[in-house]
Order: sequence, then C-alpha cells, then structure tokens
Amino acid sequence: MSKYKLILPSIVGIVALSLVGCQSADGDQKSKESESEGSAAVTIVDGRGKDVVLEDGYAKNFVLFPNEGTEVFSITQSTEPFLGMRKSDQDSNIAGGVVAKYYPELLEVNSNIVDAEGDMPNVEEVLTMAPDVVYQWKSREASIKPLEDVGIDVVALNWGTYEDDIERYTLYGKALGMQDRVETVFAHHDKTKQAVLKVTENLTEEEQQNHVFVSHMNENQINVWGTELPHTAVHKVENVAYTKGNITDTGADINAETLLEWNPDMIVIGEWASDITPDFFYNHPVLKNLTAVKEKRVYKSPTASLLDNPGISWYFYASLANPDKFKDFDMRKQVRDDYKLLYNVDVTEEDIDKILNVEENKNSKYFEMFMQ
Amino acid sequence: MIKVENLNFQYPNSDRQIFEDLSFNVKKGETLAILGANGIGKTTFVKCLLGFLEYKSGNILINDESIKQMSASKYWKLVAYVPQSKRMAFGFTGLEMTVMGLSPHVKMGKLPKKEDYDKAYEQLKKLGIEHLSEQNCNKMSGGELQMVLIARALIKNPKILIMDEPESHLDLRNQLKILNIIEELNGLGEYSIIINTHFPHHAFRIAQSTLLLGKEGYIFDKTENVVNTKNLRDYFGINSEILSYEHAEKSYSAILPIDLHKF
Amino acid sequence: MVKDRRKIQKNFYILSSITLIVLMIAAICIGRYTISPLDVFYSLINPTSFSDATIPVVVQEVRIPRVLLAVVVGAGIAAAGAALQAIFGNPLVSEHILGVSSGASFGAALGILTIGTTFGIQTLAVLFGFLAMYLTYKIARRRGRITVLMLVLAGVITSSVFGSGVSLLKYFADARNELPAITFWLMGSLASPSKETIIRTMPSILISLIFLYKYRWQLNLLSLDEEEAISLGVNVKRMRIVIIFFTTVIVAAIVSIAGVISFVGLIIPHFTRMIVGTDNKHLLPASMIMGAIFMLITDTLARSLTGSEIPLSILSSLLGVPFFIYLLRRTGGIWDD
Repeated sequence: MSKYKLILPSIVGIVALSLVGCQSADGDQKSKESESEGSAAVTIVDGRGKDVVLEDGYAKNFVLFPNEGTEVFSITQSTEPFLGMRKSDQDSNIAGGVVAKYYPELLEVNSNIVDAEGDMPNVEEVLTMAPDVVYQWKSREASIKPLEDVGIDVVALNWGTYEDDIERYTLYGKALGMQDRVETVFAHHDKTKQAVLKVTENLTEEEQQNHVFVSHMNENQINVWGTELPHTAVHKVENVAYTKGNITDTGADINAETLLEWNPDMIVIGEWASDITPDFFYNHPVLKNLTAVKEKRVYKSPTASLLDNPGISWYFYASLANPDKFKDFDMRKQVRDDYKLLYNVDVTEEDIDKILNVEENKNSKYFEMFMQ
Repeated sequence: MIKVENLNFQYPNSDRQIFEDLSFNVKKGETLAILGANGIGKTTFVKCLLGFLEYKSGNILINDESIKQMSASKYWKLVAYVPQSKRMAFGFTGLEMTVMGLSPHVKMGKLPKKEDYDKAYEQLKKLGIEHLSEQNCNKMSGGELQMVLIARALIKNPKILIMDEPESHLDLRNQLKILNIIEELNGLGEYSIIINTHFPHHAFRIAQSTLLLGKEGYIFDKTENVVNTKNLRDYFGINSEILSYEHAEKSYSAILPIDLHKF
Repeated sequence: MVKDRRKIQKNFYILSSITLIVLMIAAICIGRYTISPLDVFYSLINPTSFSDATIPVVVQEVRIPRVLLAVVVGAGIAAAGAALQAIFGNPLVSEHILGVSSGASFGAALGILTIGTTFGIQTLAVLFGFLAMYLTYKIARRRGRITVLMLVLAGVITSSVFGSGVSLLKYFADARNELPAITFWLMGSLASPSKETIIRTMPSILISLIFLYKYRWQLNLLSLDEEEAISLGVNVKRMRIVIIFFTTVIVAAIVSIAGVISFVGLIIPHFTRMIVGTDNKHLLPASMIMGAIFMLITDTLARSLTGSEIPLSILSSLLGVPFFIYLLRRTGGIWDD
C-alpha cells in the first residue's frame, strides 16, 4: 500500500516537469523567431571586457544598481525605462534636488532591488521586473553572478579613473541604443573642457593653486579625497589645482595636523557633508589657522553630478582658483544651459542658487561672482 | 557556641527532603565531624550553615543569636570557611592569599596595611608554611594549598571554623598534616570546628561529636557512640570491624571494611 | 624571595613611569606638522611669541590633548580589562570578548543617528554597554556558575547581536552623510575628538578609573569562587555591579569618542601580570601605566607614520597579536602566572 502512495505524486511531478520543459523549449523557439524577424541581437563589451549579448536588441528598460539615477536620466530624459534603482540613490542624491523637483517620478521608481543588508541584489524582485538589462558595478562580482545565473543580462561598470567615467557613461547609453545622445553630451562636455583648459594650461607654477577636497569631517578628523581620483573634479581639468600630500586613496582619514602641514590655498567640501559648511571651518579652533580659512577660501561643492554634468564643477574650481582669469565667465548661464541640455529643465534663479550652494558659500571669498 | 534547631531543607524544585528536623550543637573548643554516604547532603548542609543555601525552616544560632538576624559582616567575622583546595583562575602567592582572610576587617576601597601582611606572614609561620608565602598557589601541592587556605581562615580569628572535606584528595602524609592541625586547633580551645569528611576514622581522631547523615534520618552524639559497626552498616552499607591500637598512651582507631552489606 | 618581588614591583613603577613621561614628551614633539622640540617648549611657556601662530595651536589644541587622550584611553581600557578579568575570575576575557564594546558601539551609533550630542551619544553607549554585559552574563550563567566556555560563547553571541544591530543602523543611515560618520568612527581613532570633546569625556573616565583603583584589592577577592569570596566577607553581588558599572562607563566613554579599540584590554593585563604578579593591588595600576604606554606608542605611530591616519584597531592588533602568540606559547594556554 505504502509503495503506491508514492506513485501518484511522482506521476504528477513528472507530468508537471515535462510541461515546464515544453514551455521553455517553446520560449527558445520564440526568441529565435524574433531574431530572424528583425531586431537583431546586440553585443556590448562591458566593463569586464565581456561580450554581453542582448538577444532582443537594444534594451528598452533596465535596473540600475550604481547610485547614478540622474546620470542615466540625462541620457534617457525619461523615467520610463527605469524599472528599478537604489533607495539610497533616491534618498541621498536625488530627493530634494533640482532634478527631482521637475521629475518627482524618479523617486517613485521601484527601489526594492537589494536585500536588507543593502548589498546583495534581491534576485527574485529583479526577475519579476524582467529588465532587458541590469547595470552593476564590476567590483561587485558577487552581486553579478546571482543575476547572470538566472539569465539576466548584466552590464558591468568600472569606477575609479576619468577613463572609467567616460566608459561607464558610454555603456549606459550603448545598452539602450542611445549612442547619439551620449555623443551629444560628450560634445557639450568637451566645449566646456576646452574653454577651461585654454586658460588653465597657461598658468605658471606659482599661479597654480593647491586645494584639498574634504568629503567628510568629524571634529579633528578629516576624510579627504586623493589627487589621482577622477571624482576630485580638478583632476579632469589638468593644471587647475592639485591636492598636496600624495594621497591616492578614495578616501583617506587625515588629522588636523596633516591638513595644517599641507596648508592648501583652497578647500572644497563635498556637497553631501550636510553638517560641514565653510562656516564650520571659519569657526574651527584649530583649522582657523589654515591659509585657506584665513583668506575665507573654503567652499561647498555644487550639487551637480560629476559624471554627466562635470562642466559646472570644472568652472567652479577653475574660477575660484583663479578668479581674475575668468572675469567674463557667467556661471549661472552655464548652469542654465547644462540643465537644459541634460535634463531638459528650465531652472529658476532659486534652483541655480541651490545647485551652487549659494546659502553656504555666500561668506566665502570670490563667491559673489556666482551670485545673482 | 553554634546551635542548630529543627533545620529542614529541600531543594526548591525537588520533593526529596535532604534533612528533616536536624538539631545539634557544637561547644567552644569542640570539633564536630559530619559523616555520610556520597550524595546524602553533607555539602548541602555545610552550604546551609554558611548561608549559601536557604533552609526551609528551623534555626541556626551562634552565641544564641540567630544568623538570620545577623549582618553578613558580623557573621563572617565569626565564621571562617575553608573550601576544598583546587586550582584557581589566578595564581596568587601564599601571602596574598592569606591576607585575603582579613577582608572583613578591611574597608571597601581600602588596602590591607603593612601590619596585615606581617600578620599574614606570622600566620603562615605558625602553621610552619612561611616558605609558601611567595609561592604561586597554583603551583603548590594540594596539601600545601589546603594549609594556605587554613591560614587564610584563621587569620581573622574566627570563632567557628567550617571545613569542607579538607583532607580528601590528599596523600596519607598530607592527610595527617591536616588532621594534626585540626587537632591542634581543637586543643587550643578557641574554636568550634565543623568538618565535613569522607573518612569515619578521621572522626575518631579529631571530633568529639559526630553528625551522621542518612536517607531516613540522622544521628548526633559523641563520636564513639556514632561511629560503630552497626551505624556503618546502616548508613554506609558495609560490614566492618573497628580496630584499636594503643601507642604512647594514646588510642588510635581504624575501620576495617570487610565486605558490602546485603540488606 | 619576598624582597625580590617587592624590588621588581618598585623598579617597575619607577621605570615605567619614567618611560611614560619620556614618551609623552616625545609624542608631543612628533607629528605631521614639523615643529622643533625647542618650539614645542616655547609654545608652552610663551605662546604669543611666534610669528607662525599655527605652532602653539598645534601643540596646545591638537597634540597635548591627543597625547593625554591616548594615555587615558590606554590606561582606561587596560584597567577595565584587568577588572573584568578579575570579576569573572577568568584571564581570557576583555571588554571586547564580553561584547561590551559591541553594545557600546551600537549605543553610540544609535546616538549619532538620533541625538547627535556628545552627552547623548555617551549615555546611549553606556546604556547599551550595560545591556550587552547583562546579556552575556545571563546567557553564560547556568545553575549559578559561569564556565570559561559559556562566557566566551555568550560574548560571541552578544557581540554578533549588537554587531548586526550596527549593520542595521548603517542600513537605515543616510548613505552620503550619516553612514560615513558611523563607519568613520567605528574604525577606532583618537584623531577626531577635539579638545572640547576630550575635556567633556575625561571626567567620566577618570572618576571611574579612580574607583577601580580604589577597589583594586577587593578585585582579588572577586576573582575567587563566588562562595569563597562571600565567605571572605565580600558583598559579591554589590561589588560586581559596582565594578561592572565603572568598567562599562570607561569602555563606553572611550568607544563613543574613539571607536572600538581591540586587544589592549586583553593583552596589557596579561603582559603586566607576567611582570608584577596577580595581585590587583599592583596589577591594576601597573596595567594602567602599561596600557598608557602601549596606546601612546600605537597612537603616535598611527598619526605620524603616514599622511593618512592608520586605524588604531589595525595597529593595536598588529602589535598585540605577536604579544598574544608569545603569551600563548609561553604559558601553553594555561594562564597561571
């Protein structure tokens, strides 16, 4: 009797399995058919150097793991292809910003794509979204594999140098078949870059300023970003300024004494460090002895992205480092043009003040040239 | 000196009465031996005496004062406890260990004074173990450590000395050393000594009275009335003979176990 | 024999105190900002005489507070370690192993996220430090006894509970601002507290240290079996709570300003025990001096070796591990010296 008990479920199981098998076979056939129908498979070499084959042609939608929602948006100019993005990106980078003001739907995009620890992809959720492509950091190999194991196309992206930035922005566009848009943005970057370089290339050694980029601070401990890093915007505009001290790490913790030893001409604080303002430096019992602090040359960086919108930052550093060389330059117009081109937004004067952090920077030297 | 009246004890989650209506007393200058088979409740009883375990009913009196009414500090000035010697987490020296006995006289947040250390050294000397004063307790033999523990108990001049199987786990020579010390202390007439032991013949040697604990009850009487062949059969389940030996005008008794008694 | 021990102890105090003072003076002269020892001296007696106003500021606002902080933190953790080893009658424990640091760091992280003031962060650190200690104690204690194994396991459990708590807080933290603040400080560094913060934190550590110092002989009694200790007239329960209170305050105060610093609480009392013996009368003050020396050396290296600060926990583990191995080898894992 007990023997027979097993038979029925087994039969059901076998039948079910074979049904599933047939279906998947059907699916294969379909995809082959569609291939022959027209939208041919596209192969993209991603950040790993791996050939990612998009069977159905360019992706029409995606899930974005890097915290670069507005950057990708500058390519798509629409939130439609956004199937999923990270909550931390929405909360920390986008919410409250000027782009979110005009496109609040960016904050509505499904953000349930990582597990509770905030690290590993939530594979099942991503599968339900059925994206054509997933963007993920190359360094997160462990997060790529589970996605590829279930048959999702992953475009891996590099981060680190300026070349990585160019490659990454290109890959964002390429997977979506928007190479032309990427070219347009790059052409716009180049115009700005050339304009800035024309001035800065001719600076003598004495005229070159050195500056320190502060990402975060805790009383006497300072987290600075290294010279060679692409996200210290200066590096991209060679010769404008350079950080002393040969720190090449992403973020190095230095103490107040080291900063005093470096004694930079100019200090720029990352716009995300909400507690740290130029005034914080002006009132700091130890750091008030820095030349940059004495001369009131401490600034909060603009809230513009360094990937898709670096022009604002380039001008920001270059003009503040050598204000007399950029007398004819109109920063507010630059912001207006950039936001129009990148996000198709007509920014208001208040928006511009917000982007340039006028409120926090207004007491700093030379900053009036960016104000209304 | 110490008097126990109608003491009852059982463990909180158990029905078994460990002892019932236990009464006895130990006078100043007397030694009481507690005997009983393994697991009968000797250690439990000692813990009750020391206040580590709460008894159900009855009373323990020292100098006619109930210990329930007594402050801990007063109690521990009167009573000293000598635990079984065993390895400790930290190897203090003999002197450091001995001076700890003065703790009831050292105020919280204070250190023992130089006199206290001198006193501790004197105490070790009295027991003939001053050579152990700078030795690590964890590197001493069991007998040596037991001697140090006795020194630690005596240093505060207690009235009552409670010892938990001080001579078990020791070799014959060290057993004798400990027994001699107890005899000596007894001879001083200053202390009431209660000693918990495995060995009935040790009771003969050192104890004026003996408390024999059993499953069904207990016997408390003069040692010679308690340790006899009948009681050994009833309480330990052995058939035995008691042999006596006279030497230098002293009488020594030994128990010769013959075989297991069949009930 | 008696005289030998006394002599070693006496010599130890003299030698180690001199070493500590010399090191403190040296540490004030060492740093990334180049200042000659002579200028250090002048900036103390006549700070207004400098054309470069930065020099006296560095000496008075940065170096001296930090050197003092290193000394107090080292002494504090070592004393806390010695005291915990005594009350648990177990030479293998430390504030780290018992999960107190973990609990305190959870409290401090919570404080950073919710309150933000030094006082609030410290209070929460102390509260959760206690909670961690209580948890470890409750888990480890079975039938009135605490075995080494249970204690260490309970510590592991508590640490991981609060460790996950910190991860969870990191998840909720704002990734651009609060998260770096938490990670920043979790690494353990004496770089961040400003002179004001140091002044605000010192009293609680110093007062607790004075109490531990005063109760140091009673620690001997607590290290014995509980019943043995009671029989020696110690109010074990009360004393334990008192000692746990002060060690937790020390550890939590340190964690709340400098993050978790591992190894010191375990290694220093051990090492010191090999020199001055087990008696806490000497062990506790000697551990404090040794802890101060160790922390001063580590922190001076951490802040001056490279331009970027080397996290203290990395350096102290690097220096501490060889010690630990040496101790293990020497004693064969039986800690009886």
